[in-house]
Amino acid sequence: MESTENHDELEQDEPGSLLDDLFPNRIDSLKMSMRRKIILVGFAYFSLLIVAVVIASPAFLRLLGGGTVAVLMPVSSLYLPHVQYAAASPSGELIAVATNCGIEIRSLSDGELLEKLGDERVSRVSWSPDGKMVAGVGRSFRSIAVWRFGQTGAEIMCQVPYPHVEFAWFPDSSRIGTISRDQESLIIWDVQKDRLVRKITAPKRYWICDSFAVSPTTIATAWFSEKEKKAIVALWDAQTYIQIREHEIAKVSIPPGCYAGRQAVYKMAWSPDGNTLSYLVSNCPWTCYEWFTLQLWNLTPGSIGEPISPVLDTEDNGLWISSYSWAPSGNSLAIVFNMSHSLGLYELGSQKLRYVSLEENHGSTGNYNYVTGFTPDGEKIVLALYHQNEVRIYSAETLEPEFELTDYGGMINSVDLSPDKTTLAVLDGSTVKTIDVDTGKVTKLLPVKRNLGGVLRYSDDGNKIHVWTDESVVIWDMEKEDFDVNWSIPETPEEEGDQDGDGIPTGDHHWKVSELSPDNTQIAIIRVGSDRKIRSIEIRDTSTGQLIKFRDIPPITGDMGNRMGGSILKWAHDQQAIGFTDYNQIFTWNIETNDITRIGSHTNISSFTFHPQKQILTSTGRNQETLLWNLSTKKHLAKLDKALYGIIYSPDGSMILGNSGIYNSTTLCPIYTLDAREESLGMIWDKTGRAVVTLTPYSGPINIYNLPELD
Amino acid sequence: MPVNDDRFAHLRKEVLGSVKKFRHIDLDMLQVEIISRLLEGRRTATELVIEIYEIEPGQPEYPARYASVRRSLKDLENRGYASTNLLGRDKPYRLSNYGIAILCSIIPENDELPRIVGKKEFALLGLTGMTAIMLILLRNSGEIVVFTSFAAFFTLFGLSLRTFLVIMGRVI
Repeated sequence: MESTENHDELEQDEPGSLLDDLFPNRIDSLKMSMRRKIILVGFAYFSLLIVAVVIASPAFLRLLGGGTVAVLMPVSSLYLPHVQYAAASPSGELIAVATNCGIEIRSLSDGELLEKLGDERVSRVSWSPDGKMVAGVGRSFRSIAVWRFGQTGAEIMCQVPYPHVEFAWFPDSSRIGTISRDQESLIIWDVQKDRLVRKITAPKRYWICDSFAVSPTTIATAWFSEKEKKAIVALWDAQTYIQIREHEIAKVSIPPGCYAGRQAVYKMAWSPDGNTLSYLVSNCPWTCYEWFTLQLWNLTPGSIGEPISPVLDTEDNGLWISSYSWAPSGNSLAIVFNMSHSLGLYELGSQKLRYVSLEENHGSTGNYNYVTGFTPDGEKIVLALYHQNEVRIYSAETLEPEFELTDYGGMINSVDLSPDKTTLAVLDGSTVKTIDVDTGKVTKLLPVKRNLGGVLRYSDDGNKIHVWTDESVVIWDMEKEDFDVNWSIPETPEEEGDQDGDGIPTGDHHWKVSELSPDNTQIAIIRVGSDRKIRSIEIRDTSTGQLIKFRDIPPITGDMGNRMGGSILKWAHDQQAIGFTDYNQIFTWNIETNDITRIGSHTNISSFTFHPQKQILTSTGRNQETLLWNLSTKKHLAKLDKALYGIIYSPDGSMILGNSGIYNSTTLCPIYTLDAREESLGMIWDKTGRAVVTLTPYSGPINIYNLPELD
Repeated sequence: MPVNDDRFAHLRKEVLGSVKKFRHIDLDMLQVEIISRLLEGRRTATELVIEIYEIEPGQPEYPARYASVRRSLKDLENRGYASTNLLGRDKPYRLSNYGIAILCSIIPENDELPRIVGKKEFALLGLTGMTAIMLILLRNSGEIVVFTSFAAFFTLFGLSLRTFLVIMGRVI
């Protein structure tokens, strides 16, 4: 028995090498030394690893930034100024216009441009009370630049760092006050000595509102607290900076986290005699910044009166105040009412209000209109109209417009380069301008139907410009200098009543988007229904507007929510398919087979584009992702953790332009960085693929870059 | 006599363990002779024939003896116990590190026979292979995922390379 047990124990095999265990016969059958077996297996193993690295290397190169990324400098930078703000000089002879590309000093009598200060976007401008200096808040509120006018022109004398948007001169022109960017203090800066004089800090748990005012003797500030749910107006001695008085604003509501709290008290100003403080109080429970009533506080020495509240309660009649200014006499106030887009003159003595529409004979003005002051004689009122891109001077007596500066463009929507690369066509909302690339001068001004959106494109011969908006299609013949085509896109038949019960008539939800085909002969239109889902897609003839093809979209698209902008409709380059998105999913409509295919999901997609030759689509979105899609497999080919706004393929499809860069269209590795002051949108490639045009939104410029010649 | 029984049981266990190991090593008498010579130092096949069989080249039985010694050496080499130079005219044989470890393992105190590729080493190599597969599968993911997978892969690749060289060192 014992010997059998021993035998069994001996039969239990001990493990050898794992290689032998796994491949006993195969390894043995190789009939080679263990050393060679190990070398052979190791070679095969590491070869496979290297193959894996080679397969994944494009992703790795993308991670490394694709090796060396060259920086391209623009060969041409074109600014088209548009108005941000304006202020008349104390002498009444000049006007300073803050634009997206610096401050323009113009004659108030004829509008002649006398001097240009800086080239940054300036959001506010103000003359010093002595009229010798101009201060402007620069781009992104990095600093307040102060220019002094001397014998040789204007030169920067100081820069006040870290300001918030609001600033004001002290009456003696020696100091500037501004609110710190953290909104915890009021900064007082000596512009002569270029140094900080004082910081007036808000009490604990309070922030300073977006406004303050300075009289010769008193500084008025306002604090707000979300926790305490109140706003306080505080008065300080202008010389000793000691607090004199404070008053709690009665009618203010600031919910937690409400951004509008910053504007609980807004547009503080002293009457010319310095005895009355005025300010706007926000009545809005949420974030309607334009919803203000005016309060006056009589602070004549010896007076212990409380503020008059309200002087003008405009909440009920819809005349919400957006800005106002004291007349030099102190007897009246010029007021801009936002919702009604009107200018009013309020007589303090008689408490009478006269007002005129800003839109009479001028079209829609939008919401950002500012009354920026009176001329010193009190006869004229200066207004800056942001959306209209105009500076207007009104008679204070008749409230009639006397003078307009209309040399400014609107927000640029679209840019195209002429085929011969000599001219840029720019659509700025109300007009198409053609601009000489070399000189930067506007060569032609073409009126189009007023619309805040729209895209333009040159015809292949460069003789026509196609402009299409959500409302209309226009083809401008450059030789005839007239419209070749001009038709309105038919409205969506409206549904009656309030079918979805949200209080808004159902038809009000309808909107549509159009996109011209690559050969300019057809236009695709997507219609969004009252359920905020894409209802239909249609193709019309560009020249006649005649319907060519129509397709109902089944309820496969998601809720479009509020219209978020971006490009939601694109033609494939072969014009066999049209892509569309509901901002979360991408679909294609095969025009020939009439099939609609869902390609995939991309959260918050803002734009997409088809590859000119391959079955590839690139999408980009606000989720800071850019995805390359294989349209056949509907799978991702590559991904970049960055949004490429204004994404466009080069004509040969090898590169992608977007967001101040040019990328490899296969790997999404950056190839060139386009030097620009701010992030820019890709606009166009020229036909040869050797030049690109980008646009910096809001402030400009339009930059043209030439790609280096390939060896 | 319980104490003697225990001793005997212990001795029996040790002897059986060593016999099992020796069986697994699976050496014939000629290979044992060769190994005993190689333990003293490097030997060519001819030197081994002369030492083991005490015959000189040119004698009638020399070719047959030489062939058997050569076969045994090849077998030892295939199993990783012996090794010789890769290059050069003279190729003296020697015991590999693995071969020495195997012989040492016969001692009863050593529990297990050594492996050319250990369990942890094999796991590391397998993990590196899996990371390589992940690298391919995740190559179109976001930058963070790609960076992580590449970082993991190259770390494991380096460790694997080092491990491979250690394994090579055992059989060279």
